[in-house]
Amino acid sequence: VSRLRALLALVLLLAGAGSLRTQEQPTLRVHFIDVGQGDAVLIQSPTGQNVLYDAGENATRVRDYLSALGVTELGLVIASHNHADHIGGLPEVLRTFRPQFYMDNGIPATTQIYARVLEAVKEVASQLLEPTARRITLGDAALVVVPPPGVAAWDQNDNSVGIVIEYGTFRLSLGGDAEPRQWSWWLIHEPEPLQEVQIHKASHHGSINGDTADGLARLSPEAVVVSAGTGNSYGHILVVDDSFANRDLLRRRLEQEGYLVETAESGDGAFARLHGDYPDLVLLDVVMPGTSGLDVCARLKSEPATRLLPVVLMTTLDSPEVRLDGIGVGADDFLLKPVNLSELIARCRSLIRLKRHTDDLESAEALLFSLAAIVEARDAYTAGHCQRLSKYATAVGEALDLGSADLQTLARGGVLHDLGKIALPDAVLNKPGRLSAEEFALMQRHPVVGDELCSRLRSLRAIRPIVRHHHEMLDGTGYPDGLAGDDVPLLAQIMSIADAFDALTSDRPYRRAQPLAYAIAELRADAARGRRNADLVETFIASLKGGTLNDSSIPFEKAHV
Amino acid sequence: MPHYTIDRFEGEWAVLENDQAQTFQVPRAWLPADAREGDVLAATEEGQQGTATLQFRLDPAMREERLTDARASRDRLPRGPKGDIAL
Repeated sequence: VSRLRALLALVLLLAGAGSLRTQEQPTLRVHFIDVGQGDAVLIQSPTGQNVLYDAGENATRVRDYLSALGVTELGLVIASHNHADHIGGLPEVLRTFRPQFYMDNGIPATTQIYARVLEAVKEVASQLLEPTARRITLGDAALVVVPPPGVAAWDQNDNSVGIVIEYGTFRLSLGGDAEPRQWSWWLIHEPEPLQEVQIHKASHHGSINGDTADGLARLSPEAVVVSAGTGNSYGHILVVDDSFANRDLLRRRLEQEGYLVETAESGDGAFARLHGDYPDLVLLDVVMPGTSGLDVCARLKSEPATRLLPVVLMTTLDSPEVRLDGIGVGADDFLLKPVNLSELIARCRSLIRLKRHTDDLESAEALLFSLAAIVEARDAYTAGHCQRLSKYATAVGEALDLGSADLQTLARGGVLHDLGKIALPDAVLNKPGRLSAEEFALMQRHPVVGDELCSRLRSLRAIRPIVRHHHEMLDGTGYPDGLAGDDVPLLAQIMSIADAFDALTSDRPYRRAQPLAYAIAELRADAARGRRNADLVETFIASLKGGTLNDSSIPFEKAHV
Repeated sequence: MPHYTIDRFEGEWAVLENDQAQTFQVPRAWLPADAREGDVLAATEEGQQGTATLQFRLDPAMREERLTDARASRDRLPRGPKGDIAL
């Protein structure tokens, strides 16, 4: 039922019954807007009033679609029911199109998004309409409200606001996400509006938990509008390239293989297409005007919802810097331009197959990544600590000629290394003074907690040693397991050095950031005391000196080492 | 501790909303068996060292509070006319 996908924005142009379709003829237009999972239907009356029924999970597509049509205001906005995939886009849509009236199902939700919708309604001073049986006239056309049962104990779906659009003898029905229980109730309590229609929008996205045989028999539509599902075995690929020739070439070759292909001509265009309904793979040109492919990739990989979306960077510059930058921002693979089309198909096939396997895990993993983001937000480190660690650690990995799997592990390990701090109270996490013994014991458990969280997911197997052992020391004085010497995993050693360096060069609750030279001296002192591997420390320092880390947030211009 | 709200269930998945109003799915089996749509969950780490797991617990007081607030906010909105209207 979930992750349904409307493949195309379906626009039905419906002429008045019995009249000829001409340019001048008043026309009722009903637009089913592609918002991925979720609903958004725009009704344009022959006399020019605009009504929106739901706004999808994200406002961008609805807002862009309406703006492209030249719609500047809405007379009425109806929320069929208060689920995120129907009202998520509403706050922004309400603020942009400031409707005179707003109608919902009258059943409050406990979610933040519902509270935000109400704030927006208040802000734009829309008048609230209760979802009672009533007729809303739009010139010659009308909307007949089919009221929800209003049983607070039932869930949101079974309290959907139904609408029948009438224009002459033409009728179209919208039932929100009504499930069989609501349809049974409707057929008994609302026989009047629920009569024959020409067109019906399948309720609950056409799922098995939607329309009933009785309901459809009553409506007996000539046509039903359904969102197409993702159940097909073909992948869905987004190609982002500023060159039309490249886009077209890739699109045609991939379509030949049966893939569903979308294209975008810029980074911003890519983001506009990445809402609610995500592709299985993104092919990304590195060099584009405006937002570069690296920036697009970095943003995709930093947001929980898109973090696991495979990204292939396409570049003509096969320099190690670009590759390193690509790995640093989390790219999954690289293709050299001009793209070898057989290689392209082989890579897409294997990445999409992999994506299929990870899809089931994706939500669980996304949760862990959002927990890691919460940890980072709570921690008093300067923002970007995790991202910097990924960068430092992959640079060292690159210098050591580690394979791409290890580099990926370092990049992801940087993000997740402190996941276990989720269990620490703020009072301990950001304590300005010394920790008490009890607090220190608590602090020392965070690698274990993080490891346990990751252990739920096979896909995080490779990262677990980093999470568990990034506070071990080669002389056995670290925690949590007191490992010594070669027993401390290499990737954990690398992360530990990066972590110590970033801690030293950042402001901490108990002291200011230290100069770069001091941080480097500290790392060398650790090595001299046998706590860190001296070669790794030197490799790390060399990677700073080499300038491969050209991040402005890293003060390496001060690197007189 | 972070809180999560159950936006809805989709088959074997629960769609949760975090405090930034972002949604994501987790297996329904992770949640308490009696969790309902609209419930607010507190996520805590539990168990002995070495076997700790993330646990979601119902926070009925928070659910009530959110519901009361939502109802009050909705009640405060300016009302449009009752019965049939023309746009």
